[in-house]
Amino acid sequence: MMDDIVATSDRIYRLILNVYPRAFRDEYGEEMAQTMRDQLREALVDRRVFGVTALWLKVLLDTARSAFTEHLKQERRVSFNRRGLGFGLSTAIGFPLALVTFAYWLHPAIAAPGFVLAGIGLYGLYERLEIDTTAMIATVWVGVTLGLYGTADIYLSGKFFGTHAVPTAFVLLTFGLATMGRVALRNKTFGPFSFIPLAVTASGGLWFFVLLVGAGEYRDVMRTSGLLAHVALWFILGALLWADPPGDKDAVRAAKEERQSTAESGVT
Amino acid sequence: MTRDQNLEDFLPLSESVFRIMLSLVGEDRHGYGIMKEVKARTEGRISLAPGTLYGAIKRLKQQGLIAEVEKRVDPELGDERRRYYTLTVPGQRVMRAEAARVADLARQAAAKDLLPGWSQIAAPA
Repeated sequence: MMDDIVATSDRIYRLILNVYPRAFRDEYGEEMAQTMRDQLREALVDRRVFGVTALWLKVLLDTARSAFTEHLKQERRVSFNRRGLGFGLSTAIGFPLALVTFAYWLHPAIAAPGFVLAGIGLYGLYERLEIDTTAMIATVWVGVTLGLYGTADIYLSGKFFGTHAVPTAFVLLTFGLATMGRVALRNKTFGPFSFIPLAVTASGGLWFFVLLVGAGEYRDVMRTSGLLAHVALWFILGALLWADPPGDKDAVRAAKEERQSTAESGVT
Repeated sequence: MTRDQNLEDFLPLSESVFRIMLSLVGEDRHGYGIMKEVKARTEGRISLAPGTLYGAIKRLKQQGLIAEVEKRVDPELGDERRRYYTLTVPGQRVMRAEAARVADLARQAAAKDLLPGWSQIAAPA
């Protein structure tokens, strides 16, 4: 009976260990399982089923907390850089701020910080990306998105923020930012775990300003749906980026240099 | 601990980390041994779970404050081989520095009568 409980718990705990980063699991997983078995035997001897239940509760809570910590620390080790994160945050906050304040024709003193932040962020991200092609694609995407947004809004309604073009613009904006985020991730400007808070911040910031300055404007279903789609897309994007680890910037640069040297040797 | 790091860079230690390192003073232990020692020393107040323990062990190893020693069997726990950990020389220095820091705090608290019966330790050496 006692052996059965320990064996079953051991199998379950080994499955749960999969929530830890692979490197951590490879190094300590076996020891953790061994320690868990020791604790289970002790709990069974001391307090029988009640002891095992209490132990499992403690271990589950500890696993959730410590696995999250290990993932964060692993990301920091692999790809975290403060400058990139700063530029990313600057873009994520500045861009929606600039967009919303400009769209509502607020006083320039209110709109200006958004533009400045967005400018600093975009410049920083562009400089940080270094690889010309991908940086250019990201920048063009954002430019095209903004252009489509303005054009659609002006031609469909004759005034800013007055039509169903708004939800469409939000979705396009999302794809623009999403592409930029993806490129930044691939080049290790920031990692997946720091990107998810950025995405949430961007959505949260947008929501906040829309609710703050435009509550009266957002009553119809289409616009509300557009906003919801915007936030949902950010979350889906965050999940996808989480599942897709950032690429190796050095490897990309090495491949590019190799292509250049091959092309040059072909010319000569 | 690298050459560029000072003792102060590691201080203050969290209570869990201090307890883990304290359990290794004078005796090498495996993970479960550390858990039992910490629990006994704190009369059950701190009961480490595997995730917290091995997360701390990983970071202490990276910082060079503890190290692995050979795997061996603990006769009290059957015939499974277990990885033992030991406190390194830098780890011992960090522990002395942390103990001195805590003692200094206790001395200052005693001087303000916050620790009844401890007045004798408040006197300057």
